[in-house]
Amino acid sequence: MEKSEIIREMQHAVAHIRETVHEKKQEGKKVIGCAPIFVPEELVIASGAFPVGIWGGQKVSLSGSQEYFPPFACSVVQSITELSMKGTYDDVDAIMLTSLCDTLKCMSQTIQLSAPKLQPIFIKHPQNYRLECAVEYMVKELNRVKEELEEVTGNKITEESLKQAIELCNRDRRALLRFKKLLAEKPGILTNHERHDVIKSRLYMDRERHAQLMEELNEKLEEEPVPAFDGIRLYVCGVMMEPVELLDILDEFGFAIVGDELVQESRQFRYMVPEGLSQVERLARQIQQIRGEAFLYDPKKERDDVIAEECKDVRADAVLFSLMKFCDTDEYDYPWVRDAVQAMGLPILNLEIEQIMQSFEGARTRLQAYAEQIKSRAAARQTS
Amino acid sequence: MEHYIGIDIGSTATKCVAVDRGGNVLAQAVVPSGAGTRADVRAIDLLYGSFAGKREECAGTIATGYGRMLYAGADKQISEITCHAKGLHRILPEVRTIIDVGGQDLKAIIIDEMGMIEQFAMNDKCAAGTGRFLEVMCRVMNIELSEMSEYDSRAREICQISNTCTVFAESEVISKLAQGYAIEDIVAGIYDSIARKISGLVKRVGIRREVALTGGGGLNEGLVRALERHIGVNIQVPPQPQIIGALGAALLAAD
Ligand SMILES: Nc1ncnc2c1ncn2[C@@H]1O[C@H](COP(=O)(O)OP(=O)(O)O)[C@@H](O)[C@H]1O
Ligand SMILES: [Mg+2]
Repeated sequence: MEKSEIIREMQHAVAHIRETVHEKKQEGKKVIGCAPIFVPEELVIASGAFPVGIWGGQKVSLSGSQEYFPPFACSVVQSITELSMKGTYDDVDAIMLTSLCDTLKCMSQTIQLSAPKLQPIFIKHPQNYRLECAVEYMVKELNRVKEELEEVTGNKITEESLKQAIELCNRDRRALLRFKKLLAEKPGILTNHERHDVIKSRLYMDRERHAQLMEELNEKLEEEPVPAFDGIRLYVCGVMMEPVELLDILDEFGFAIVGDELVQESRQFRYMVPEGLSQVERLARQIQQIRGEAFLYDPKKERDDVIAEECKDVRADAVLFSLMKFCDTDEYDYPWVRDAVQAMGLPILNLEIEQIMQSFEGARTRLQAYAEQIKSRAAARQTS
Repeated sequence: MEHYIGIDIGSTATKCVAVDRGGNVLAQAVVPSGAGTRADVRAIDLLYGSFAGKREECAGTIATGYGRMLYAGADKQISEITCHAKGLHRILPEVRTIIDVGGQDLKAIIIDEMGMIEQFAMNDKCAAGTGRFLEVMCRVMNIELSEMSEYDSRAREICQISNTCTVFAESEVISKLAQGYAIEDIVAGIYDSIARKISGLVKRVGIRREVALTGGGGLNEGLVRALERHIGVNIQVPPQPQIIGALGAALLAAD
């Protein structure tokens, strides 16, 4: 397949989520919604069901969600609530929910009212997740989730099917990591919008197909020469870079994303599922490896170190902290991240966004000014 | 005569400046952005009516401001943030913190000794802390914008306006008027209220001396006094604060 065909197939998946879900149902498959932030998709795949990402909607206008949330609640949770009320998830058999932030915690309760037909499957992550007893706890928790999924799908999840699902997801993760690296080596080879679609599509297509397309795409990208690039190598932090108009604006002003720690993107795949005694234990051990995660207990505040290390690795020129409005988790972390980034001599822009935002003039002005700031500094450095 | 033009199409007013190759101001024009005939066209017409330059002698035009993408006559569009930094650095080179209070937005910009931007912050989509807040309050009190500072200078005490939201603050002002508070004291309260909001944003980027106020907000001495109280440092205002963005655009065109 051509590079453009691969990307087009992925973009199609991102743009036709409801159609895909409908098709799966027609094939007699069960569909399980995977809400933010970390849910064991491997269990869903092992149960023979189709996992579909539930990450809200861009530019959704909110009305019903205000019955459950005050206006100062995160727009991702609000748009999920709004869509759940509108019947967007009617074809979904069950939804896996976490309570990894305060607003998600609220949604774990409100969704039962906003979408009474949607069966919830809760996953409660351990607080002190680095301790060995957390693994013991998580094994119990995941076994309960496994049983609930078996009930919904009517299929048994075996050691073998789970092992295969883990291998498949790890294969996809490896391909995504390779992809990210290629884009850092060859900035400008894809647009920021394309990068986002490629990464996001894993949440909305058969994982096997995604892994296969990723591997093919990587091969194509590897063959291509390094494009001439005189733009800005950008590292992005935050929850997500949606609405995608933001990515188009980045493209317009010459930014190329060379690395990210977005919840919806890299933080979904940067840790492999490790080895373990049983397959469920392997899943339980995955979160144990996570370092500096804002949505897990991070007493040493290592997130800024992780960001600084990655910025160095990908040779970022600048950092964008895309702050989802009202995300207090990110608001708490921002000063640490800012200080760490500035200590490396890199500029950082705190850009407040909302998934539901419909006007982009303010963001455009900030991003244009940021590009001008960076470029004029670079020009001044060259002449001096 | 060869000249360069900067046009700053703001949400409230459209400002034009013409400079010569050396960056000396030849002419300037300010027109309200409002509906009706196009403000950009009117501003340019007004500009050419006020100096000897001819349109065909224009060697470069840069557009900035909210409407920068809509102006057909520009060679290039540059953000207001860069333009304000450029314009102000030319007039007051010792300034490191620029506060731009426009009709609908509010910006704080930190620049270095070369005039290069180090950091900036902008308000969210809310009229608190902007010129629009002042306009709304003037309407309620039935006084002119240009009279506000005069009233403020006669205030005996600051009548606290507790709401930051423009809509709620408007009804608060109406009720203060009904309760018989002096307009002078209410005006002082209004300036105090927007100064509070502005200083919050400025403290986010960190205050570095010297500090200057630009944009139409700079036309309000009362606001300057209130800001000095909240920020705790002396604030400089260029002679024509509202045209600084357009001046910066013109200087960039001449560069
Ligand atoms: N004569 C005046 N006295 C006091 N304030 C004024 C005067 N004229 C304009 N302003 C203020 O300037 C604001 C417009 O400033 P400006 O910088 O031109 O805004 P923008 O760039 O957003 O169009 C108005 O909202 C008003 O508050
Ligand atoms: Mg302005």
